[in-house]
Amino acid sequence: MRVIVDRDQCAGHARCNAVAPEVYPVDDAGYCAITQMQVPVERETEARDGARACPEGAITVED
Amino acid sequence: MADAVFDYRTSSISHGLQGVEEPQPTYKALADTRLNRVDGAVNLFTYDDIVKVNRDTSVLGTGGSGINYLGSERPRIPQDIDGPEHAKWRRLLDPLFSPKQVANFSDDIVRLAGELIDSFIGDGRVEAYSQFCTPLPTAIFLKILGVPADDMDMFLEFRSGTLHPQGETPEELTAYATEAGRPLNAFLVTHFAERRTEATPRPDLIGALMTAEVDGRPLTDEQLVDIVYELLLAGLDSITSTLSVMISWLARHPDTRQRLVDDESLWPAAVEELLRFETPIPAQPRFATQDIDLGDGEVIRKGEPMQVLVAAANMDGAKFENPLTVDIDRPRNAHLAFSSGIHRCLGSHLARLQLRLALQEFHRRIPQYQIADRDRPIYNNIVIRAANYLPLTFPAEP
Repeated sequence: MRVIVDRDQCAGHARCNAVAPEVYPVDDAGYCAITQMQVPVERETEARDGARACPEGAITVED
Repeated sequence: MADAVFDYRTSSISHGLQGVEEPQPTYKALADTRLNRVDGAVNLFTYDDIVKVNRDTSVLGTGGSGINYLGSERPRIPQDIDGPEHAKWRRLLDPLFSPKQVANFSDDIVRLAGELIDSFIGDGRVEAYSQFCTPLPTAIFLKILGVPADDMDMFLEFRSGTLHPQGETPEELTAYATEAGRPLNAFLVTHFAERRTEATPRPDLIGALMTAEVDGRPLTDEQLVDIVYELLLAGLDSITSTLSVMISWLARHPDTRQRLVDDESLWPAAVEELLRFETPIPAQPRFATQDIDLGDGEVIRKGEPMQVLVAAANMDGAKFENPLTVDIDRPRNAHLAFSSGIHRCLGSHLARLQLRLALQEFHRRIPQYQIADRDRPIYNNIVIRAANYLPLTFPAEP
């Protein structure tokens, strides 16, 4: 599973990071620091929850 | 710029809800209608429409109103600015309010909350708005900024005169707010001058702003005032109000409160759910500089003022199951209490931290409390939702 973060849409809510800090690190300004990640199986649930937590809909999950 | 002046402070939607303890059913009913056109604005009520408008780069925020809302002499930075100019200021300010940065104030928040509680815990009674919800975030914010806590009374007067100005028309409201802001302007300019005589910059927010550079130059006094004005307004009232409505809700719902007392790990989720339910800042104005097609035949015309009712979006049944229920176990809660897009609340991380720690500390010391008998909270729902009078009783500490 892969997650893709549209950094142009990221508004720095940091909800993804609050839910899944190992999948979605944030930078010093509080914005998502990754553009995409290959998610290990054991982190798939939290990766999905983190994606759904984004009010901007900036995170896409690719199965 | 809008074709006509729209002042969202006079919106009939919020005035119709004034004093109401539970405005949520009204907001939900509005979300079911998608949008309306009253008071000379398009009022948007659904989650998807609001996120779409908030991310549209042709849409202006409060800066598009032509109204000097809070008596500031120039546009407030960054709220009243849009476009690349706005991004420049957020790049400067976001790191100063990042989750990592605000966490440095955790100990101060817990300590100050404890001191305030010490002052009334022996009474068995407290008016929480004035004795807890107002002084706590005010003291924290003055500490973060590096402004003396002795001047708290002046800041509180400034806050009340600018955020709750008196008057019937936009002109009267603005005139009242401008007058209330004068002492603060004078204080800040003097304060910056004093700081410049010091050998090293102080390690606080004003110190960071005075050593920062934008466009390769240090900030001018005017720019410093515009930012500090903005931060003082945002930091003083919003958290006070949010704490007040959350405590009011928890006072009236002892079952959920007991779950939080028994398991503090639930506080982050509870804070998010109460932010969704109460949406303390229910609406923001927006201004269309181009036509916007919302789909299904709904078009916003260039020049139309808008009001995005995030309080209604947080009741949108398309996004939140059983939106009228406060469910601290809610699995999906991407609420819009801090709005969305480029004007997403700069202070959201500081707000979350303060809310969690203040509520946690309050409930450690006073786990059982209720609204005082034969007394009722008084609510404000215009511009900012608050329980401005919140009388509580609890078993007095022996």
